Amino acid sequence: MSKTQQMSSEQIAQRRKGLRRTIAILVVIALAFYLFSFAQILLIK
Amino acid sequence: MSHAATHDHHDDHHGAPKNFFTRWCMSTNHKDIGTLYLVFALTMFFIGGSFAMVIRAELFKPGLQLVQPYFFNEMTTMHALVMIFGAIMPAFVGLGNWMIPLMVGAPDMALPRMNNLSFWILPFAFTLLLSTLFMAGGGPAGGWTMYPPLALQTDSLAYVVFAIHLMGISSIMGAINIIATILNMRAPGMDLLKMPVFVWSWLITAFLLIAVMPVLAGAVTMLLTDKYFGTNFFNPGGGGDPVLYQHIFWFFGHPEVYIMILPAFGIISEIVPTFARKPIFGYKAMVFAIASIAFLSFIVWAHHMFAVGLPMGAEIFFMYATMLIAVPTGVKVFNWVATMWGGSMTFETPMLFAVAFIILFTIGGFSGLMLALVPADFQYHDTYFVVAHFHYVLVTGALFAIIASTYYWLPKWTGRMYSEFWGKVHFWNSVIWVNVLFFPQHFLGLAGMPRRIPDYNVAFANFNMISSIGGFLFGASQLIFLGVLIHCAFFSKKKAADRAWEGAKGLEWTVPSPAPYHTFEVPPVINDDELAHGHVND
Repeated sequence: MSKTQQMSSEQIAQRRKGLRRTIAILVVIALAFYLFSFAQILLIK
Repeated sequence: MSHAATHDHHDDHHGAPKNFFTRWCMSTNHKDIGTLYLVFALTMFFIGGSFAMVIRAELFKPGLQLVQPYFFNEMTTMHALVMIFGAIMPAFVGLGNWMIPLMVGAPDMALPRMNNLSFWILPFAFTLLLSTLFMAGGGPAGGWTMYPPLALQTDSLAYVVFAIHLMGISSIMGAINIIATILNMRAPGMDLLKMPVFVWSWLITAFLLIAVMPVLAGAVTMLLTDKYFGTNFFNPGGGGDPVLYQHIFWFFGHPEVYIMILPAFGIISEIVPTFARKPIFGYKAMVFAIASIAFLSFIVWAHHMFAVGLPMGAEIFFMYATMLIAVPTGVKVFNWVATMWGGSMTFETPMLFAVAFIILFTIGGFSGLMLALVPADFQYHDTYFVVAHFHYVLVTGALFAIIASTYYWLPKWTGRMYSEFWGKVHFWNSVIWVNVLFFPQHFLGLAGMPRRIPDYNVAFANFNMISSIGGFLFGASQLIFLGVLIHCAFFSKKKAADRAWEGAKGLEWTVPSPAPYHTFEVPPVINDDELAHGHVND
């Protein structure tokens, strides 16, 4: 059976910051690809 | 939460909520949401399967016997849309939701409420999509690829486009959740190169989803504006070109098929080592191969367009790039076989489906390699050879992997063992009838039978009849699967151990069976010997 380990407040705060940064980057990537699909029309013509 | 170190006390939300609506409609629990996705996917599988039964019934004999041509075309279109977006993709998301937090030692997904929203969008979107079948002008009937100008003639296009936008939003949010969970919520000590291959496969698939679902949204938005708002993206009269739609659609469409197979590769990489009682051969190569396949999937899209009149240089590039994908895929197949080599093997139902996957998916891969050759594809394009290819990789590929993983993890989810006898009956029926259904379609395509037709030349009659018989019996044998699931969930008396399979390794097997509502509320200590890949970097 696995034992458990404690996480400090600093580790939790780091997790929260990393999470927000990850989500921000991914949302930007999704939006960029949506706009890219329109730009693709211009690029291929 | 600013005061909190994690601590192990009983919260007021200990255990599942008693209220049905709260538990199932307002869930923030990855296990319950995983179950919702899986039940939804199973339901959609039978709906999409019933559409296939209509198709195979009409094609049983030459001539138009049972349905009107427009309805037949609605069936082919909806069969694909339902199976791709309603069955296969949500099933993989459900498996990811259930297993990823358990496998990395996280208490739940990173964004539990968005997880719930991602799921509940889907029943709404599919109700909308399927309701178009009952509308005055009928549902979409121009093929799931919705090429203009034909797709623009669909009276219910607005509803179809809205439904697809909703499905895309669900997938994008789900993918963001998965990446955020895997990158930020692993238990300390669970390094990336110690994660199960299934988790790696979902990490990479999630990036594909975020990249390409917005492109599909763009493509169908342009269809919408061309029909209703006077744009001319795909109208030559206004300066546009229908081929532009094909480029945008397939830029989504090709990564989409890899989205549907990469998690399957991850599943096989979990099951084979367990039943061979040997670690996966070449863990790093397996991860690298998945990443290579994902990268290459972005630069091959025009192999779906070899017959539209592309410049020869483009056709040659896409041909070579497509053939190149066979290399990392072949590495994976060899590594699964090498994992079994010298192993101490047993063949319970999950392993039977996994071995069938390896053999039959490879057959699908061979027909794919044939299609990659431009001059050969001029012959095969839009024939049943293509239908045979993608059904081999999707049915005996993705679907068999989903079924294998369901048998594999069912003891963990329900705490009970399924009936091994009926599992094997399901397996043998599935494997035999699926080949009766799809193998003759290679010959039909080579003989020249086109796709998407409700009636055909009498020369194609015999193989169509064989294929239809295979279809009816394959469809019927999935009812055995339904019976196995219901029996296991509600009636089975055989309790499952925490480590349900002797050779199984990984964090998910350290929690009780059935898995408690909350797991790893406090992160586990990671013991490298207990992991399947704890010593990769030694």
